[in-house]
Amino acid sequence: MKKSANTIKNFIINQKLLFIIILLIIILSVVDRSFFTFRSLTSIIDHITINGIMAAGMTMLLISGCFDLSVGAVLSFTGIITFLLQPYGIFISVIGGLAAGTGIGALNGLLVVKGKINAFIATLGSMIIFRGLGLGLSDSTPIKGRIEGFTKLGQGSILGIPNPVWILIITYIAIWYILKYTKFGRNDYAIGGNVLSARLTGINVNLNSFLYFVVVSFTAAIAGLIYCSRVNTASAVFGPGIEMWVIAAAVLGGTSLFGGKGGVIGTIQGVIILGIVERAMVVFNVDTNYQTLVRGLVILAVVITDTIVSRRQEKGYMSESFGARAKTN
Amino acid sequence: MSDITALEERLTFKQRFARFFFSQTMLLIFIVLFIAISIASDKFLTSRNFFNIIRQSTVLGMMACGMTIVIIGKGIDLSAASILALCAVVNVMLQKYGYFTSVTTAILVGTACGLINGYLIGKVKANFIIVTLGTQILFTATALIISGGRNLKSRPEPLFSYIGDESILGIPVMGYFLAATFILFGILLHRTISGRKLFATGLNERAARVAGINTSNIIMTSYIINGFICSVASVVLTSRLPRVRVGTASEYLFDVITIVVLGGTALTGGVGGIVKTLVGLGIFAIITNGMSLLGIPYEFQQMIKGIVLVLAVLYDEFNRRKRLLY
Repeated sequence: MKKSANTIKNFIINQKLLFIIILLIIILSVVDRSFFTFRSLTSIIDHITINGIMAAGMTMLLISGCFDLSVGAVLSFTGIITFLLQPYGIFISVIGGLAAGTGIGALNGLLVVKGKINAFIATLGSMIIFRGLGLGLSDSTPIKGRIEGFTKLGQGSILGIPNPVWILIITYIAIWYILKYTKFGRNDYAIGGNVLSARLTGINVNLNSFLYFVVVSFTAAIAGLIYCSRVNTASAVFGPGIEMWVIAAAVLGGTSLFGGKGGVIGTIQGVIILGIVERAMVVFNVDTNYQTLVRGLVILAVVITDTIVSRRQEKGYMSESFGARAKTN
Repeated sequence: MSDITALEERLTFKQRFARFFFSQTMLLIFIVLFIAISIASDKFLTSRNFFNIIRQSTVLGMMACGMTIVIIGKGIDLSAASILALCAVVNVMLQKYGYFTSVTTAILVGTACGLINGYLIGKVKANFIIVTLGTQILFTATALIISGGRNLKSRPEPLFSYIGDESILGIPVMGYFLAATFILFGILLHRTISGRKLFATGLNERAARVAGINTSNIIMTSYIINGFICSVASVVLTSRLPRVRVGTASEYLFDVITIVVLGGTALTGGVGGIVKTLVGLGIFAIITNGMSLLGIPYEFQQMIKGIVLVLAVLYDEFNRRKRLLY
């Protein structure tokens, strides 16, 4: 009897995000009749794809114990390079944009791995540099797209589902698979858990950490392509503060800021919760400044809960091991 | 203590020179830059431009002092510029009740912001980067809500125009503010027990705690002091600029971090000092001033500042490794 109660309790605790999502949907459907319609739900999913794709890459980086503040700059810089290269054809422009965005990640990775710079300051620096370079290259004005076909990426749909959502699904399945079933992904947890022991077991920590930075920038570059294709414009000021949104979604989904813990299944739930909250603020007609305020409060709430929960878990492990020792003695 | 001096004496001349060189490079860079810009632009070496530099760098310098303390305690305050903006808005909004009320309230608000950061980081022990990024969003949003997103116009109070425009003995009043802040923070950091405790905490928090230092209090205090100095800087800012815009204030953050890091205060904590920050401020101020004198567009100025930031950190790491070798 007690055991089954415990199982139920554990199930609720483990799936608490799912319950929060269901609760939010129920509340919003009651308050707003038009909320629980196919159109409204797809618009929420459509809205979160850009941040969601970035959050998948960020989860991978967070698990290794680092994080990247330059994803917003990567997003806007990719768009600018893509649109500047459009006179040379769609293929070259897309490849060039992806390469430029991923290149920023490679630069971050080099600075952190080889230069041994704090990840925070390296990515902060590249954020300023590439926002500035983007502003300079675009003369501080938005660039209009010239190729109509490019807009299909963000605005078209296959089988009734918008293309960005397909990309989102593929990204999450790919990263979920990598994290769960490949050596590259398992190393991620080892490095985040304890760098020193990971190195001693023979993992090439430098190469792996470098690649995680490349992955997060690659996802940000794809998100940048979708963003620009959707509005058919590129600007250096796209996605301000998006890095915080992305990190908050991952942490909300149970990925620890201290590394070694988490996964993309949690992240997608975090992304959906933040997406619903944003949607709710639009439904309730909340002023933009208050929306920003709420976003700040959510981030603080998430980080405080994460800290308290992980500290309690540590204590739990300790008391458990002490208990075990007492029994054997 | 005597053991350390004995060790110093045993160093050969080459080692001592290397140590001196690697500790004073920033000063050399400052001198080289100074000479280079004076040759490149004939407007640079005028007393008018010199006072301009002081006026431009007072707010940054005061904030950099607070940031130095936070970074030495192995933290960083990304909400510093938002605290500045919030306090400036509060100050301007309350000016109709007299400057005493407005300045006091602004300083109280700034200190309270510092307290929020300090409590969450020192006591709750949450990750300092995420906390201060969260409070950055929170404080900026609050400033925007209070001001309604409008540009606020500061009233022509005699006190503010005195701070902003007047000079004493030929030096702008703001210069005295800057000097007073640096001297005060220098004493606080290098001549008090609390200052030593802060260095110990930043270097190795666990060791400091075991040695009997209340590390969470020390860390919390460092953020409160930072909030306080940001609010004082906001008073100076409103005196200098008649119009307050929340957006402009947020640009100060990267500049402040760049100044502190340029000086050689390490982000790994426990290493640094106020004199270093002063040198960093000097380099940063003449780079900014030189770029505008030479007519470099604003976007590229930002980019160059970013590159300077990254190079400064790279140099800092290189420097640390070298120091370990000698």
